[in-house]
Amino acid sequence: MISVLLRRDIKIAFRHQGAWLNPLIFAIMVITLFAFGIGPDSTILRQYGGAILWVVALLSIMLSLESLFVRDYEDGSLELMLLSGCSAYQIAVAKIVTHWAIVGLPLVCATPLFVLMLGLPYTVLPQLALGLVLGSGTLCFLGAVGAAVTMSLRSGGAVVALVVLPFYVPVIIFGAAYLQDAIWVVDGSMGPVLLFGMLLLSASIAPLAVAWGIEAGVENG
Amino acid sequence: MGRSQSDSARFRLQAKSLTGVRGDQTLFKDLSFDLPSSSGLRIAGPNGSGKTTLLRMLAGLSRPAAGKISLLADKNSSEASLSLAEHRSRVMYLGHNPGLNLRLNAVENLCFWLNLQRDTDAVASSSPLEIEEACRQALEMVGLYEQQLLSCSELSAGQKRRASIARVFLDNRYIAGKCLWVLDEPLTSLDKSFSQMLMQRVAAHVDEGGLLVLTTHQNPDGIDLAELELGGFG
Repeated sequence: MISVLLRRDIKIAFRHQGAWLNPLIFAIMVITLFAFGIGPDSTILRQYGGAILWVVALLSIMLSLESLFVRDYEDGSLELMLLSGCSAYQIAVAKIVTHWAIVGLPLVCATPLFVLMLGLPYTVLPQLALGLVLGSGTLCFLGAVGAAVTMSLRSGGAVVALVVLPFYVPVIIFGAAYLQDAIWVVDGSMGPVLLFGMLLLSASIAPLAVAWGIEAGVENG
Repeated sequence: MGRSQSDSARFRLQAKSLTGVRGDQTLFKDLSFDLPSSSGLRIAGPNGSGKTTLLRMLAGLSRPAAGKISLLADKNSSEASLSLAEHRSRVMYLGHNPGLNLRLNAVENLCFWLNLQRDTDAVASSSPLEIEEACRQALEMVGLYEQQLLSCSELSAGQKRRASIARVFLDNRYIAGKCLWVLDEPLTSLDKSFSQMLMQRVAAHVDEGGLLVLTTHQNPDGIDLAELELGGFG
């Protein structure tokens, strides 16, 4: 059942290149702006690069959240999915996984580019990629909760941001710290463990909350 | 998880003292009916009287503020009513929203819907090609054979309605499990000949032992329907 949902969402994403290209281009452009704004001083970039990268990744995932459920909610597809023996939980898991595949995964793939643009040492690539895989997954799980509970409000992305941002704080703290440790070659072995822990926690709780949000949204419709 | 024996089973729909509210306004109160298999109910009433609210409750999309809705096997009255998930999977719902993704074409939309009906044996045992063929046939019946590969955003309003309604024209073995048809204003923006064709299909569903609940302002001929008038609480 989940594979049917996944295949459809991926197909829709590739019909409309913007779905996966826009967040990626947004991230690349904002990082470019930071690089231009700070100037060619590599010590400053090195000092703040980790934080910039993580905030940009967070914003890029958050800005694409709004469309996660709204379209299916408004055209009635969500109702039809629920009326076909497929549970809200399955819909939630499928939506989150697709969202990660079309927004999180391209960001992870673009890490070499980010490292180049911020003048970070290439040796941090494995840690950055690992941190982003774990962290972007967590951001997608948490963000989907915000997208699900706000889908029937018709108020655009601002409310999603307000709901979701407070929950993103720990991911930023540990993600950026892990990257900084890698840049300064400090032993930061707790970084991936904490990020992995947050991923597991959000993966176990978020789909339940999203499923509840889907049911509530459809009930309001 | 097939349900081959029960696919053709007959069900009755019972509503016991339902209350429907919108905001803090009571739309209907203490509404009860018992609909045996092979029968239909037409819900009438002015705009805003709660017709859609009631239909969404009967479809299992929203919970009544009070009261109980149950779908039970027709023969065996002692049998417990279906769970919400089973109830939902037996509903064929045509609402105000077409349920079509505008980026996909009509065939893809219909195939996606049919593929979701995995708990029907005929769907689970069919190959993707058979499913697609069944969807093409249904679209041909609703007169969208030439438009089937256009993305749905290029269809006119009436064609979108038809693409959405194509669900009920799928081969009967695929949708036999959907015993409760809940149709919200099914004839809106349809031309006369297609309206007739749709009502014939609906009548055939009732004749085969199905259940039907619909709202419509036109009086459909050819089906014998019980009537329920809402709007006492305006």
